[in-house]
Amino acid sequence: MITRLRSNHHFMLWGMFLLGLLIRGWGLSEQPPLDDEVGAALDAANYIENGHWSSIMWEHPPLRNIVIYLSAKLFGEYSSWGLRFGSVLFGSLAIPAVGYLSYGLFQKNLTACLAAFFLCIDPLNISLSRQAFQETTTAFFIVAGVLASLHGIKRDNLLFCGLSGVLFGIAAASKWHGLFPLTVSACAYLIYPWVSGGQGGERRFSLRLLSLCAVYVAIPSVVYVAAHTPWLLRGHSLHEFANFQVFLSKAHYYHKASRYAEDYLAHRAYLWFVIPVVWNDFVFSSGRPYLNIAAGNYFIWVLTLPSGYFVVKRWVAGHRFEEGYLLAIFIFSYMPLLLTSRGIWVFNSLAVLPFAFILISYAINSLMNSGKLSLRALVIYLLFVSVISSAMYPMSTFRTLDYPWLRTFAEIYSPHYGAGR
Amino acid sequence: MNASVGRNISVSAILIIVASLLLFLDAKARGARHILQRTEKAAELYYVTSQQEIYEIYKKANLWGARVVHLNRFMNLVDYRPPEYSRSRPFPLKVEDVRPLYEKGLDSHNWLFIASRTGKVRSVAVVLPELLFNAKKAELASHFEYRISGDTIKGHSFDLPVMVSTLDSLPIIEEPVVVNIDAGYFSNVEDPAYVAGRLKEKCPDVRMLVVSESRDEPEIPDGARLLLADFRKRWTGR
Repeated sequence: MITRLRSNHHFMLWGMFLLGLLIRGWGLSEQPPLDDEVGAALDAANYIENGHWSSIMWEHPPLRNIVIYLSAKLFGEYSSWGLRFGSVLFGSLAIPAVGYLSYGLFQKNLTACLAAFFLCIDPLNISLSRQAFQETTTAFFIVAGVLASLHGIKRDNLLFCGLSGVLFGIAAASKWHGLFPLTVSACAYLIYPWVSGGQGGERRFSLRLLSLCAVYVAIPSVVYVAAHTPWLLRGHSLHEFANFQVFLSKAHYYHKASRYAEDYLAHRAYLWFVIPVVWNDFVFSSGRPYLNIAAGNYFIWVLTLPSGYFVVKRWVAGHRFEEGYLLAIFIFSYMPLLLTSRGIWVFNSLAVLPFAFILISYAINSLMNSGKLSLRALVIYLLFVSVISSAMYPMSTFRTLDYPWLRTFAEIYSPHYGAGR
Repeated sequence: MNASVGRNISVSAILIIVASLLLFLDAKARGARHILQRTEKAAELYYVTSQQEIYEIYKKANLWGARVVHLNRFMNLVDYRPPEYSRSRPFPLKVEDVRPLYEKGLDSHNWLFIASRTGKVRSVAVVLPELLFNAKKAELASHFEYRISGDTIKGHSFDLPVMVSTLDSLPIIEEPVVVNIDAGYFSNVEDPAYVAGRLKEKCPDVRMLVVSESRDEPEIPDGARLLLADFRKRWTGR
């Protein structure tokens, strides 16, 4: 029976969801609110009730306010869970979603389970799932959008494509990262009959283009606009809305973070998969300091670029649609962050990370299939990265200062050090 | 019915539904605005001694999403965020209506910004005397928030659309507006008769006119207040 359960990816993925939920929710009530979370709570209630545009991270679209408001309604107050449940839930739901996307791409249980496992134990994802911000929500809806799109494209099913349009619209209404995979998926939809090796339905280009406009432009647009309804009800016309979006794009481009984040924390996306990079938060609450050091598990992240190279080689050799789609999503989600001149901090990686993990899992699975990697080596590797993630868990959950053995990290990332520079 | 006909129908239906939803949202948003009804004779006229009082007038008039034309030597858009926003506190968080928190920080420099944060104002056209406009143009040239085109500057202050111009370069605004005119506008000795006439041309549907003497602003000369009084007479014809 155990063997049967192990070979059932649904069981494994939802098991990892529960594990992810546990890890993300453990001790959440003891984690004090950040200053920005207090502001996010005020923003949420006031956005829904009187259309007040966010004051915290105001350059982002307003879905965060809706998620926090609904979460607080569910819990009856802006308690720790009431404030953060949306982040915890979407951070955890992204785990099976990544697994299902991997499975949908390659029909391999091991690839699906590995990708989900990497996300499940990723300390950065864990840390951001425990804060009332938009990162995990965006990542979940991006992955869900790509998953729906994959099924829609492969089955030539307009309903799935429409669903992906809705999901991408929600992702974009959370953060504009959602627009990159949306664009790739729209292009994949357009060209699929000609690159799928004889498969794929409707071949009339004009009809395909019209369908693309409906499901990948019109539907996401209306979902995106709808998320702004409370603000629109302050009397703003759609013309003013469009002008505001242009202004927000400039605000994004010229965005400056705090002096500490700009001067001291690594803020270039090319570093993510090369060296360990962190984001940290500091809060003084109930008479004591709390320091959070959020970073990915370097021993997983560092495999991204070699795995990407491996998949590129395979795609060049075989031109498989699924490999090309995955690579394109990864590259076009990552590239804008890589090329921009403004600071990009590591918390932005959550929108790219699921695809990096699928690349890694697919490469590992392929190496195992070809006999170049043994099961024993994989088990040792998984145990090793689990130990590393466990050791990083206190750092990712505002408890860095509780453990003497984390003092070195605390000293390196002390905000006072940055403030004094 | 073959598959491509079915697909054509589905796609058309999606596009029609989406367009209808967008039009519906736009209509709902425009309908949500609240500004005084036009009286038969003229705009409602209000007189205040300090700019802060204009906010109170807006509040009493129950404005919501109004478009404001603001004649002054200042933009009055200094931004403000209540300190409660960045103050860590224990769970459960007390979440309140932020509008009174903004109002606590009201002063003569930020009242228009606060009126936008509290929903009373949704768009502002700032009209500056020509000399000051040129200085402002030079100042805003390096701000990404604004773009300059001839004698108008368009941009945003946070989520508030802002246009800055001179009275001559102000486009005709057909929609109902609230006009503020401050004594500061006459600091550079503008001609009240010309201002009144031109303003009526540019803003054919003024629902409220708020005249502010700015007695709390020491840099405004008394002569400017006399010109403001003259403007008031010419505007009302009395």
